[in-house]
Amino acid sequence: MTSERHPHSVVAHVPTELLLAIGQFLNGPSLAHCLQVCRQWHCTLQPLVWSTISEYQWHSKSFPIQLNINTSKDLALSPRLPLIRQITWEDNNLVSLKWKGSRAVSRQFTGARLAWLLQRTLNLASLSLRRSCDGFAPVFYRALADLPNLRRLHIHIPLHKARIPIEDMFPLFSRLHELYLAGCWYNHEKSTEPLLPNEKTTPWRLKSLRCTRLDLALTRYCPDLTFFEMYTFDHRSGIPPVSLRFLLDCPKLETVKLPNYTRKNDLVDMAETFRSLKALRSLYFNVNLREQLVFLYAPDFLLNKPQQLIDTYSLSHPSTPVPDQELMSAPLLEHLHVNHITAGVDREDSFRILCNILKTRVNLKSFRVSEPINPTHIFAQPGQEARDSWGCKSLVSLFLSLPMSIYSKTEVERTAFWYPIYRQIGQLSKLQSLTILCDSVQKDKGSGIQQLVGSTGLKRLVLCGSADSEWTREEIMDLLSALPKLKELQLKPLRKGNFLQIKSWLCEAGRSDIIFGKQWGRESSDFLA
Amino acid sequence: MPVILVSSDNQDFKVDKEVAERSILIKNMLEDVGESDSPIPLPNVTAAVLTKVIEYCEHHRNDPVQVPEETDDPRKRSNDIEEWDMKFMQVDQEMLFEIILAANYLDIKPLLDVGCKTVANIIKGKTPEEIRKAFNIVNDFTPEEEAQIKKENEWAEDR
Repeated sequence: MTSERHPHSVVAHVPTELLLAIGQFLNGPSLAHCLQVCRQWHCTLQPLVWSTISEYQWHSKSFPIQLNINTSKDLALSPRLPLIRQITWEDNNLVSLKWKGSRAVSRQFTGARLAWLLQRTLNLASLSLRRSCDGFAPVFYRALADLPNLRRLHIHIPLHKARIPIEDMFPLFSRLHELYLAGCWYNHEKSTEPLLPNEKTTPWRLKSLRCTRLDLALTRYCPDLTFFEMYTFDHRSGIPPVSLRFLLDCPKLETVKLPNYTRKNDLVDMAETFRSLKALRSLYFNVNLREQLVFLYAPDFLLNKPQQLIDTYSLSHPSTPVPDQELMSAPLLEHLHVNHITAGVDREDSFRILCNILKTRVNLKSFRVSEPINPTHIFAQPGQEARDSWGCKSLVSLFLSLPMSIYSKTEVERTAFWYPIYRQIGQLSKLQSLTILCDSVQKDKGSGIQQLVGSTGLKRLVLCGSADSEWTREEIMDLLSALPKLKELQLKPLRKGNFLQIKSWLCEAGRSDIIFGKQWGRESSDFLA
Repeated sequence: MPVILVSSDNQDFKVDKEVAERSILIKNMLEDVGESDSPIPLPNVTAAVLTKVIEYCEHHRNDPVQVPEETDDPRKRSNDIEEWDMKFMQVDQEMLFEIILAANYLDIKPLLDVGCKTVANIIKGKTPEEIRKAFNIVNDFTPEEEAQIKKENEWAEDR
């Protein structure tokens, strides 16, 4: 037998576990081909093919589980169903299209069919469902609650009318690690109180929770929570106020995301909560109220002063208190992302607070503000010592947006404007990712762009504007020699033809490995993952 | 302090402790033994393969230690290979598999992943027959079985 083989064929001798390890990196079509290679490969890789089922595959004409779930043919497949580890069901449109049935028919059909499947997929670890029309049949939720190995559950049902029997799922929560609920989980006609588990339930093991404000009270039973995200898109009246104080029961929280958080009455609660969350490392929010920034900067002030004082409190005042490191909320904060500063909030004041955060937060690793910041507030101006102004020396990722007003200024003014920016950024020796959004990015010699040479570790540079820019060969070459570790470069938008020119200059400089011109939608925090 | 590694064909390799500790197997061994300059025998790795493995560990000596990810989501797994690693893996197929086996034995997860990704990239886009050819595998299915398996798994080709 061995004489048939090429003497260098070693694959057949690779242990099963290595073949499995290789299979991890193969997608569906490649895996399907591998199954046909030989018996060993077929036996080894078969479970991987069945480990992930997407909606698209489910609806494939050749998917072995057919319509009539009670046919013997489908039941014959049951031994394979326990192999399924993950089901992803992003939308339900295909069902509606395919069956042309009424909404009620497709709902009933899907709920029962999914329930049938869930009862047999005993090893299912991850389930992600997104429905655009309505909820599922109760039989589905009961089947869901019975899954013994489910660890990750994402359910997104946007329609308000859908009533989801969340109590039915409480047994499941003691096994889940990650839960994402979007939709309406309570029956508001009957009760305005959030539903809570009774005292007898086993403690929940949730580590990650994404939910709406209504579900916030659930965190009280999740002592292991490390990630929390709350959406407050639900603005109907009659909903009982739920304070962020609930988070005090989650001492392990590392990441808190609060987009759209607008409850002003909650500020003292908020300050107190964040001061207690000592493990907090990442904070993501929109600034709807100036005080949301104050609580980060000087929570003790907020806690000791009555509300009227908070309202008149201004950091531009000369007697601005310098926060005591000990009293700082979230002393370990590493990632601060501020997405949006609502109109009406005093911007100048907000920028000053953000600057103070940059000055005092020595642990900061990523800083992202999508709202245009006036650079004179956060970058040390000529005459000031740049070296001492920012305390966050270990910043790895910086994402900044600069205002449009500078576009109209004269050449000289623009240069004077950019010089301090590059000077300050060049001081960040640990920086790996830099994104600047601005109308027109200055990058000629006079702008001081060569000062970026101080950020020797920079791997990703994104300079994005709204007016077409044109880079010269010299500018590109200077940039490349200043940043030896650059892996990704995005310069947008470019004048016609400039893109290909830059591409050829990259090759010329022997740096064709740099990813150039990819879309810039990726999170700047990628390098921190 | 340097560590001495001995390959299966009795060649000595002197490497920095920091480099050797990229291998979890060696790291654990050193922890068990404590401060000692006795050579560490690696009976499953030949000198040729060990040379390559050390080259990899030298280059990645300063990489942060990988945190094992608890992800079952294949979409999160990327097949991207760093440029240096890609060049490093440009070896003949026998060596490629020897490196993977050594990485598995020595417990160097990043090297194992790079090796597996390289093999996966070879497999991608190939027909079953082309895969057999690429790896010199004998088809041990009957034609009926082969047709049956093809039909059964057609759905997996849809993404």
